[in-house]
Amino acid sequence: MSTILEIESLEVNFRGFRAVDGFDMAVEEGELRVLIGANGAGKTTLMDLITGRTKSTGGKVTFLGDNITNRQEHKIARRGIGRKFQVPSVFKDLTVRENFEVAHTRSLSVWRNLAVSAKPRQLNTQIERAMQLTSLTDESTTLAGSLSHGQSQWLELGMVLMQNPKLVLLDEPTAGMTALETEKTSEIINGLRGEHSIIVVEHDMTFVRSICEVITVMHLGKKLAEGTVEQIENDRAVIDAYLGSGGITHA
Amino acid sequence: MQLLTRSNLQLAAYGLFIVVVMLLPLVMDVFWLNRISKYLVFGMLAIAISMSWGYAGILNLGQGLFFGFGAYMLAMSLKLASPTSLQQGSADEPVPDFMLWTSEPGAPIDLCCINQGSFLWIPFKEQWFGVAMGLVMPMLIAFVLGYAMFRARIAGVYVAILTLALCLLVRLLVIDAQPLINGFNGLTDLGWFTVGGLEFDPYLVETYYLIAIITCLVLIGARWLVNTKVGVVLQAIRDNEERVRYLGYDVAIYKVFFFCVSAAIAGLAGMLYVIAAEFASPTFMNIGFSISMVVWAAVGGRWSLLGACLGAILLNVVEATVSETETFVEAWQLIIGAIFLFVVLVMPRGLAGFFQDAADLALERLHRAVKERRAR
Ligand SMILES: Nc1ncnc2c1ncn2[C@@H]1O[C@H](COP(=O)(O)OP(=O)(O)OP(=O)(O)O)[C@@H](O)[C@H]1O
Ligand SMILES: [Mg+2]
Repeated sequence: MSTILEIESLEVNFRGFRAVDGFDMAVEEGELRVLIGANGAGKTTLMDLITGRTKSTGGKVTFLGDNITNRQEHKIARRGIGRKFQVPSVFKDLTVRENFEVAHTRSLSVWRNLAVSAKPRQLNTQIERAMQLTSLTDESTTLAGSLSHGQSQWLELGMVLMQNPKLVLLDEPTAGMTALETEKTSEIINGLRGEHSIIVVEHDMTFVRSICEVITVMHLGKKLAEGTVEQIENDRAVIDAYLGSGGITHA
Repeated sequence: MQLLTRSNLQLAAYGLFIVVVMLLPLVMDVFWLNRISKYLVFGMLAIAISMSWGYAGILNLGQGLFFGFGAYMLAMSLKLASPTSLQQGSADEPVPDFMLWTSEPGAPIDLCCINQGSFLWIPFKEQWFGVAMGLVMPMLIAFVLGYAMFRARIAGVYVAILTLALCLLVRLLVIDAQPLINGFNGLTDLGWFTVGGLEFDPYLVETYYLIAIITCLVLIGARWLVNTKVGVVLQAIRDNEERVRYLGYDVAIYKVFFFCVSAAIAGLAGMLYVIAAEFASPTFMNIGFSISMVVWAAVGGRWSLLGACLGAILLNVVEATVSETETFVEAWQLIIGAIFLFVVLVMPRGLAGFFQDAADLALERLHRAVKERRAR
């Protein structure tokens, strides 16, 4: 196995406040890595730094051997990094189908896309499959703005898959979901294993146990611990850091 | 296969519009046709606004800049083709009359050097150069402006302010350029646009058809464009620009592209307006005019190309009829303002949205009725 993503002493300084502070992490190809940490630990900011949304003030991000630190967002995305945001972020005025259509990024250039019809005659099998996977087939003509919370989460998840990135970043994909929905989501994510490398931020420990290999714990912008579920649950530093909040399960 | 569907109804509306526009000469005299051809030009402007504002979310309050540039480029060529200019110079070396009035005593009566900038006019002796510039210049300006704005991620109201400011700046420059383009007075006393011996006198049915056909082609072209994937990506950008970037699209390039297309349509409209109205003037770059375009599109429905186009035509027809009654002339601005407010507050999707909802409702009832009958 080779390393797909390598983060070295990454840092961002928001006017004196270091939301990510000398963070290191390496993710292997095909790995599913879970990132946990209390509110404000810097998990979302870390994803912002990887995807170019926030520019780092120090350190380095290497993806597939290339230095992608502080590149433009779309260039990083084209390299093969897809992202699902913490707050479901879909195109509310477009239909579910159109959302998938936009995420179907076989070609990204203006000129090429002029030749692509927005309403293709033949069914696009890839889109059909993504809609089935996310149980949205019946909603294909619904405006994304009127989907339920769980459905928009799935829609965005489906869009990221449509994009077919080598590395998928998922920021709390089960937030606000019912137990049933959460279960289905972990099924979807488990199905992606192997094909894609995945980093997922998650609070729900049942969910984490059901999918996880290696956990990285983040605390105040730094890496606190890394290891299997058992190792993390028995780690002194982690227990100390979480003492106030009543243990890791409630992180 | 359902025949009565939403998209078929839309197609029918486009078809009906084109047929009516093509048949108007059967029922109207040339004076009204000339008027309508100007309104069709305004319709084109509204289409351009609908594309950039409705589809791409770029509110351009300086569309008059592109319209004005198109107009001036063709008007320069037509000015050189006018009998007066030809008399003053010679058939090969026409010179615009206003250049003579302002020239220094003893200056040679020749475009090369009658005044400092007059040499710029030389290539405009060829009418098609003027036509080409009428498209190229607006696109070039839009490209530079758009690239600078959208790369720097300037959006929303700042785009509106910047475009408006630039339009006003250019208007001042034009007014100031007395020796070069006759400043405040604009370009008048123009020759006719001529294609293969056919002179497009504004009061000819042929001229009406020239404008009508180009308007319809623009409408169809714009409709095709927004129905490509580029159109959908733009709507996605309007909806949530940031999200689109993480899918790998270069958002700025997409916006620049639509901005340029919209500018080209405005430039084309400017040229057609010169053919129909026989003048070009700095008033084309007045704020009021650019804002009117936005009002037409909003009233007609900025998310519908045909709606925006019809909005422009209807409002102008109403204005023309109303302004024949003396007392209403003053009140017109007020009425327009009221209509705009009403539309923005009560039906943000404009007239087109209203009709679409009505059609949707009717279709739903119809389909239900059919189903019930079948069930029985
Ligand atoms: N652009 C910014 N400017 C200043 N501070 C910021 C900025 N973005 C994030 N922060 C701060 O950085 C810290 C880390 O935030 P971040 O959103 O990364 O946490 P998180 O681990 O994702 O937390 P949560 O579990 O609540 O999602 C927070 O204290 C936040 O207020
Ligand atoms: Mg977060």
